Amino acid sequence: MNFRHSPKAQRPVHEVVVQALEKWVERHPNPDVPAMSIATSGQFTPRQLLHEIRDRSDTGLLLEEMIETAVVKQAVTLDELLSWFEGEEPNAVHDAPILRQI
Amino acid sequence: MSSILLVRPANNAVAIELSSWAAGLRNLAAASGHVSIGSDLASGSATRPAVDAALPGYEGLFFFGHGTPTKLLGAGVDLVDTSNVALAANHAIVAIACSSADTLGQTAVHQNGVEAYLGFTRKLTWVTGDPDGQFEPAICSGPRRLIQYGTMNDALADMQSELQNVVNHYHSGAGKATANAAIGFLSAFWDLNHLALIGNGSYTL
Repeated sequence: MNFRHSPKAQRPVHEVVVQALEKWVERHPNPDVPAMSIATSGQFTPRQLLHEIRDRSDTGLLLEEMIETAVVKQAVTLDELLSWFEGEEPNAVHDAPILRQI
Repeated sequence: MSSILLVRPANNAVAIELSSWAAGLRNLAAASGHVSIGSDLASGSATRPAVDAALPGYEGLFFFGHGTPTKLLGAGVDLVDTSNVALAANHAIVAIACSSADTLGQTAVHQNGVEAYLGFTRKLTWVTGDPDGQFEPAICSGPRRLIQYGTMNDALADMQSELQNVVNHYHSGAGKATANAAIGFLSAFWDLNHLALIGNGSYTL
């Protein structure tokens, strides 16, 4: 499996992760309350995590590596993981507009 | 009875949260009859001179705070690094911190006589505030096991098992319904995959 591209969309994983986090921030009940703690890096709200991913900052790269690790080790599929962020059933991800463009 | 040095600088929000996890070990140690918290260097008392003076006198160091591959950090100061880790020779170190098992742990065991080092090789992450009560019990299960007669191997096995339970909680358990399920799952899986024990797994406190 080539993790660098979404297996369904054949788009760079970075793009589909950004899109999923955008939806996560939209639907999150507290997007400006810290959601993730990283010892030595700090606390990050959902909105900050979205910015970190977009900017490919150290924390954004860490989050992408965390996703890659889980997917490559087959703890979860990328579609399933993205659906958790988006608050949708996994199959719905396949029909998301960005994926239909392919 | 063995004695532990507890170091928890609590020098910012993340370290304060980790420090609060460590506080729970005090009561457990008091009740265990096996291990006591001989010294608790918390907040402002977690200074380099205090750590240097204390390190040789305890069978184990439990550190809860910030770390890098080569250091365990306090408020603007390196509390444990390659220049003083030999003071813990013949003893064990448990570092609930980022990354320190990567280099400091290896150096401690292989070049400075530390019996065993349990920690993380990469960043340590969790859901802020641990609202589902998952990460604190999992991360602290190792130190708890050591307080209760366990070996370093036992401590590692408990942390692995408990972190897997956290993964399951967010993947397919009650945690899946929470807004931060993906972060919880990713953090627990990441931590599980970067937990490392270096040195003598049979060591007990």
